[in-house]
Amino acid sequence: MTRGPIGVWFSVALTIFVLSVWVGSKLGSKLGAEFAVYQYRRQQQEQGTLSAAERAHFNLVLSELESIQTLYTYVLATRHDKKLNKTCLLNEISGLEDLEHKADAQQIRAVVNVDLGLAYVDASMAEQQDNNEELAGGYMKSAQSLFQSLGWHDYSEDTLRHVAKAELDIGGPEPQKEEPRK
Amino acid sequence: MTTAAKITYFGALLVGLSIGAALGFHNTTVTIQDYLSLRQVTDPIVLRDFSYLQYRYADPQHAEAALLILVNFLEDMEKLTPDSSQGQSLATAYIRLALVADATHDPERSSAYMEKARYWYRAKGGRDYSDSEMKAALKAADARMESFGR
Repeated sequence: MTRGPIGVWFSVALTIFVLSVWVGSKLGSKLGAEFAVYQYRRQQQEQGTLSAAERAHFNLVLSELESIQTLYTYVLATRHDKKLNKTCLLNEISGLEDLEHKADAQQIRAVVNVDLGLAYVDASMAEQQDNNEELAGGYMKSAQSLFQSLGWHDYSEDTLRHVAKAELDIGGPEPQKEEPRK
Repeated sequence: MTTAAKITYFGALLVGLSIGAALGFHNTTVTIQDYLSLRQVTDPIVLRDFSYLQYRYADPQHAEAALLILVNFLEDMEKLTPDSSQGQSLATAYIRLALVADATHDPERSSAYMEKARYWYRAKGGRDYSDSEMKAALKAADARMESFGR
């Protein structure tokens, strides 16, 4: 065997090896994901005492709660960027409004409404910062109407702003404004 | 292509696929299992926040309804995964339900809720406190939360 062909063989074999590892990892990941979910469901069936219908309903509620959490996480994660944060807030409002009208979300409608109310308050504060008083007032009115329907004793603007700020602060402190350099 | 080359390439393909599949399978399984375990901690957060806000700001009927949504969800979670460690949260929710019942002057309902609170607290290895001790502890914890602006 000459030196040249060995180099070519080795290069081709190495390329095949690397590509195979990549293809294998994709296949393995797909199988692994299905296996993990299967194992989790089987474990729930073996250990749990919920019927199949109750389990299906529970998982539906779970996925709706995850949707709410995800929408809110985006808002929290973009607090440092005013423009992006406003986009995420509007996205949260539209996502929660959709969820509110979904038939399978009726059971957690009140949960959606509390989060939607808080999102309206956040949007109102954001619009007020941009001097869009009319929009800010509209959002605040929507929030007040929701919290009134949720049985709140005090749904004044001040209280709602205080609650919304406290909720945001629990998610993480507000980013500090950068001081202009002298 | 010589036989030796074919064998080498086939070997590289086989070994590569095997290693890749094993790594991909292992990594994904571990990641998804971690994620599914983490869900038991993170999923009820939305409901906990919701029920706390309703408990703190809404009238007794709405507060009770919200706490019952949380309780039903956590009990389902316990039924689904018996060791999902929701006992403490369930005990807390039942104490809040008892406090709401106290506010509406319904002592029977209050003691029924406290019975369940003690059950869940003891089920997860907690001491057997009296009703008044448990209520006082929760009120103190809530007051601390309020002092942080909540």
